[in-house]
Amino acid sequence: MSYVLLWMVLIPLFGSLVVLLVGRSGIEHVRRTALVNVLVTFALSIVMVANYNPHQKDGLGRSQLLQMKVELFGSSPSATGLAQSSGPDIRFALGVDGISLWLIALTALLMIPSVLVSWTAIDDRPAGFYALMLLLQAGMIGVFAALDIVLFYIFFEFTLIPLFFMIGLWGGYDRRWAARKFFIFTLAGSVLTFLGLLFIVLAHSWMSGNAHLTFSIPKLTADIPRLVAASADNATFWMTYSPWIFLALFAGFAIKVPLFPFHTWLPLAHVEAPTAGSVLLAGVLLKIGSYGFLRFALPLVPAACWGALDWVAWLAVAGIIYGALLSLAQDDIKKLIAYSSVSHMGFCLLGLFALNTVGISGGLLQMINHGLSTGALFAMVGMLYERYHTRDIEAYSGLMRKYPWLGFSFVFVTFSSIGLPGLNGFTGEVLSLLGMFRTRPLFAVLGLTGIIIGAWYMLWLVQRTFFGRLREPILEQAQHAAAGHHDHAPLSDLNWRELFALAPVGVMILWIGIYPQFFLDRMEPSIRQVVLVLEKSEPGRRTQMAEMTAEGKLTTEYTKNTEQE
Amino acid sequence: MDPQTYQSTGEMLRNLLTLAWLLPLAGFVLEVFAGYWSHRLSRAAAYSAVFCIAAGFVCSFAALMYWGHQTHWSALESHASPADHHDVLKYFSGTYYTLAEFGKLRIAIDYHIDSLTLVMFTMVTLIATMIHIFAIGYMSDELTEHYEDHQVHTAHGHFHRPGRFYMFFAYLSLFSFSMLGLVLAGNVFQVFVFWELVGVCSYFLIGFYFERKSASTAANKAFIMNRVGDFGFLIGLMILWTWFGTFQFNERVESDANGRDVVMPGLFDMLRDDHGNVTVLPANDHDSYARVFLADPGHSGALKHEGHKEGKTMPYFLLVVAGLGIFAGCVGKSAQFPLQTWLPDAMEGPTPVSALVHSATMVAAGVYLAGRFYPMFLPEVLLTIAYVGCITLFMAATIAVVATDIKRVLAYSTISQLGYMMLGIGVGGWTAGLFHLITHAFFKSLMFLCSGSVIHGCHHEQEMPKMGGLIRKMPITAYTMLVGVIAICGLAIPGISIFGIKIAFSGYHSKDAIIATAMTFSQLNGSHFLLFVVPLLGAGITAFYMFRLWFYTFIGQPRDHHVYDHAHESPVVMWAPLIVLSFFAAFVAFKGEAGSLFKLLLDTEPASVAHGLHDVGLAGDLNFPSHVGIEENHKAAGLYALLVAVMGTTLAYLFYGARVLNPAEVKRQFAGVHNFLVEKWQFDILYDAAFVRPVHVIAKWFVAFDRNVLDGFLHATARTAVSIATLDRRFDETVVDGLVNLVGNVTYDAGRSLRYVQTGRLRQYVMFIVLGVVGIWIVMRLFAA
Repeated sequence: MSYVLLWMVLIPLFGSLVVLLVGRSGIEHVRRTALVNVLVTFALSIVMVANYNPHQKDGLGRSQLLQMKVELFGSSPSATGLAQSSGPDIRFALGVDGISLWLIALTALLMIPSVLVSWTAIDDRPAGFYALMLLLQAGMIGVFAALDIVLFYIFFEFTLIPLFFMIGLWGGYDRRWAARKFFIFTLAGSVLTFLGLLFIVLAHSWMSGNAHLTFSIPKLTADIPRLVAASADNATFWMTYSPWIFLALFAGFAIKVPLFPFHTWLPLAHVEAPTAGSVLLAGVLLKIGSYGFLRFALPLVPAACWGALDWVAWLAVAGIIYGALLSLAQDDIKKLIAYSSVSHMGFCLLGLFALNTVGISGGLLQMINHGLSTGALFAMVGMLYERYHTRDIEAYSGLMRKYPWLGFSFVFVTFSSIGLPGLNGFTGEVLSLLGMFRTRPLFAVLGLTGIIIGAWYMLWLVQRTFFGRLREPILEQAQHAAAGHHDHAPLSDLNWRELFALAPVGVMILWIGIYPQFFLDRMEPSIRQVVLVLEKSEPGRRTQMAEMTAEGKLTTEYTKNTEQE
Repeated sequence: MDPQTYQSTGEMLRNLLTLAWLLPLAGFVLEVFAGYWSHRLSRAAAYSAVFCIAAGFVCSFAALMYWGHQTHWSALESHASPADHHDVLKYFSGTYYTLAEFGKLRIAIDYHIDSLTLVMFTMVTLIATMIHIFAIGYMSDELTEHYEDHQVHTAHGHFHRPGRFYMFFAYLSLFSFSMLGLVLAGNVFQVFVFWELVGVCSYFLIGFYFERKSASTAANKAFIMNRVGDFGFLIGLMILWTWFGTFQFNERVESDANGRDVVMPGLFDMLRDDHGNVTVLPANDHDSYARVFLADPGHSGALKHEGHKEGKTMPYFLLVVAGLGIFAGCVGKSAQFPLQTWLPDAMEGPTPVSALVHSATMVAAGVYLAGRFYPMFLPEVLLTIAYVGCITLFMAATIAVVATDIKRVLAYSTISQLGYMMLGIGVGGWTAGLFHLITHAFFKSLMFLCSGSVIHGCHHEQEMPKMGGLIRKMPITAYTMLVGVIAICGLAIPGISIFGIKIAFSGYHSKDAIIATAMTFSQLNGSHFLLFVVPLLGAGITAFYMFRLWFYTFIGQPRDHHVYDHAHESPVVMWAPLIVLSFFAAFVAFKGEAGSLFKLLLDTEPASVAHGLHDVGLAGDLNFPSHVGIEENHKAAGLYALLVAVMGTTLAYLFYGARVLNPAEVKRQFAGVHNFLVEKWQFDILYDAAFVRPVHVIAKWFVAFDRNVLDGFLHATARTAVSIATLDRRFDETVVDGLVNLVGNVTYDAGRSLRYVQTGRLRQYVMFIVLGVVGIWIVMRLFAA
């Protein structure tokens, strides 16, 4: 049982090797192998969700949120918690808690449409493509499941490489430029992030007076608030350096999210990426940024988060409105959806930086929601592109008549994306905003304007492409021969493969929309842990806390609350 | 009622209404996914939709009867004062399931059943059933593989498509489900959820002919305009959530960890005491804001107030903002000023939709919510509601006077009547406003269906100038329409009564109630006299444009013989609902304020209304009328209203019936005003210039900013890096490499020159060593000294 996470990383890794091996025997074998692989991983993710119990207690009655832990190549966790004192404690450790649970499940789920939309679209070197996609999956699951900073960083960077090649080799006209920009921009930020993470590790060692370096994320998140509260020296030290640590973390994560004004790599990468690349990029990779904030910044440097709240919220609100307006002005469908991602991810960050349970739950749920709806939108744009080889909005009109199922799905997901109650987007958005309103009402109100413009650009897109009289782009043989495509997909409504690609996403959209509590229940205890830490360092409370620390009252209470393992 | 009976009654009512609520949803799923697209000639989808909603009506009506039976119809007895009934719980509420829960904070799908819920359920399901039946006939031309859309032109003539009969009924079913969910909602968040769902149904139904650009544009406009209202709604929700910590209307009982029952107060319980009063703590030295007191027993660090209640306070202005925010949602949904422009465009939808969604039920949801949420509205908010209603009713009425499209006249009339309801609620006539909601639903749905019958009979001609004299071709439609027209105008025969019952149709009673309240209000607050004068004037305009419509369409000589010759009475499936609805339009308010409908509504009236309010509001200068006060003005107000209505009717008769006066002449005389009215007070132009265009322009700027500034900065950084790298390369190649080469060369040269020293002769070497040792010794000696 406990090895389920390990298998979820290993199966795609082996899968990519197998795909390469069967590559010789033809495309049919390649894509079937990939599909089986993806389905098996998805089944494992269901096992993982079913077995995750948010109310699990350990022998001492403490709640045990981190479950299904696996460690390889590391010393077994000894009773003292201290491994052999030779060298730093870096481990291949995986585990899942309420924060990563749904993101891992989302990754496994979105791989299904990703494989299925590439089915006929990728006929050039398919073995390489599917192998890279499976590698990417291993990286993405790994990054969410990693319990060790070094491991996290390895997976974090590891996700870049397959996508770089997917965009660079199978992308559109400007693919090389897009791949390069995407790679360098993201890498530049993540190097700073790594420095920040390393500093945290070192600081932990300094504050605890223990020369032994630990890279374990759960240990750091549990220890550091305790150490900071334990002595005045540590508190001063941490207060001095947290803003810098926050900035370092911010550099990588904000680019990944992407937060305004660090978003310019995103539309380009999306427009040039093959459909599967866009689905995974929007659906999962962007979440690594917001996940990073929630996993590292919020629990480790809470005081700095309070300090940066206004700045981050301004950027998020700017992104919401700016992204929405940019979407309104696009005439390329894919670009429109890409910019809408900037807007929607702004809601995520607004929720996270509400720094209370409601807001963070909303932000986390919004990550899942955005992954589902934007992933599905990109998949459908890909289906359209496969038929006509253009993404120009003006070229289309009245598609509903000819493609009723595609039209139905597109309208359905559009409403999910603009936050219709009963579908997933609504709950996430509303909880994010409710949370933010408690912290800073102004930002919640400003963020609301994004909901109006969001409805505007999405419904306008639907009106222009799916409503009205039918008008199809003219198919020019020469044009698509030049683009390297030999033929168009048949001009008929969605086939079974395409319906099957969208169906799981549709089911999730309805499920989250109608019964969000199932999802919130599993994430809430983990989020509450983070919020406990945040509440303690809220400005205004801090002075009170300092007094209490002096009197020695707080330490015991603190220890009780923050014990995670 | 003892607790056990109370509980069993509540469960029974819940079961009945839940069934009525969910049946249309089941119908929707069946109609969408049962594969009717493969046999488009089948009416089965319609039958299933009609069955679901009709069964829903039976359940609702049964629930109403059961409720009456269990309460021994106490609501219908004339109580001395409705406020005295506080020992009995008047509502039944509970939870279906929880959406999200964070400690004490909770969002759930609840139900709340009181007489208002029951009346609304019965009304909605009854009207919906009639409209569903009507639509079987009206939409029958969709029962084809080749529907010809006369309004969409292609290069090869008219546009053809497969019929979408089943889809229409699927949307209607989904709408019925959403609307009933809205009425059943037990918390304001859930109201918002279904609020949006009815909005999206409206979007699909307006855009039913989505091949027409006008239809899809109207659908978008409706949805986005409503979103503007929802912006306010959400702000209201956020304030309530932050300060009250709940969305629930009324208290609920919950078991805590120890199994004890804990009462979690609802919004109304927190704000209002048992007598419906709000406790306002005026601004003082410590606090620059006035505050309101919220009773909250569980609140830590609670404030004791009045000796027995614990609670906290919130700023007065924030509660005003919350009320205005919720009301902004109502403004959007009920098409009130300034968000009214979407409703006339919504007439792009098929006529049964206009009858059900855009007149009788959905647009009335705004009024319903204003009524349901009444206890949360502070006096300032109520005054705003009254003025918004007042402006709306006047503006829409004036536009209706010049409109020539039969459906648009009715649309503006709807806006105007909704304005009356809002005004009624705003001036403290809670029951009057909701009373008008119910009566209006019947006569307006009737009139829309009649117009649908006319449009159907005239082969989709909607322009009244092309009609005329149709009474001879379609008498049933004409006479049922006349019932509706008389009802909306509020005509009655004064002075005569049979067995003490006035001879008047429903609209007379409800409009009368509103005008009487408005009159009392303006007597109490002299500066707000417009709130009485305008609705009175509006009554006259209403009578004028409604009779104009009727005379224009049915009386006189046919103006377009092509239309007239082909006109025919509609089939029985269409006129039978007209007869049923005309019966209700006439008699639903039977006996007026002594009748059962009014009494039923009165049973739910918030406690603060009956006795009126004196010197309230932050400035302390607002007075709201009491029942007794209104009663005194009732006769006079009724007489004024009737007089004005008769004048309007007469004028319409002179212009369009007897044709003694020439409307074209008047039009010429007041060309400027006429044009202003035809242009709908220029609102569409204004909004386009003030909002739509600027946003597009700003969006374009942002695109340029994104490309030139942000990306430009990024690329400049990259270019700088590359040029630094180039410099670095040059530096490397010249300086660093040069240095390395220099060192190499020097070493090499040194080696070369030393080559001559290496002779291989031993004696020479020994001599070098000796010389070296001596030299070192000398140096050491020197330094040692």
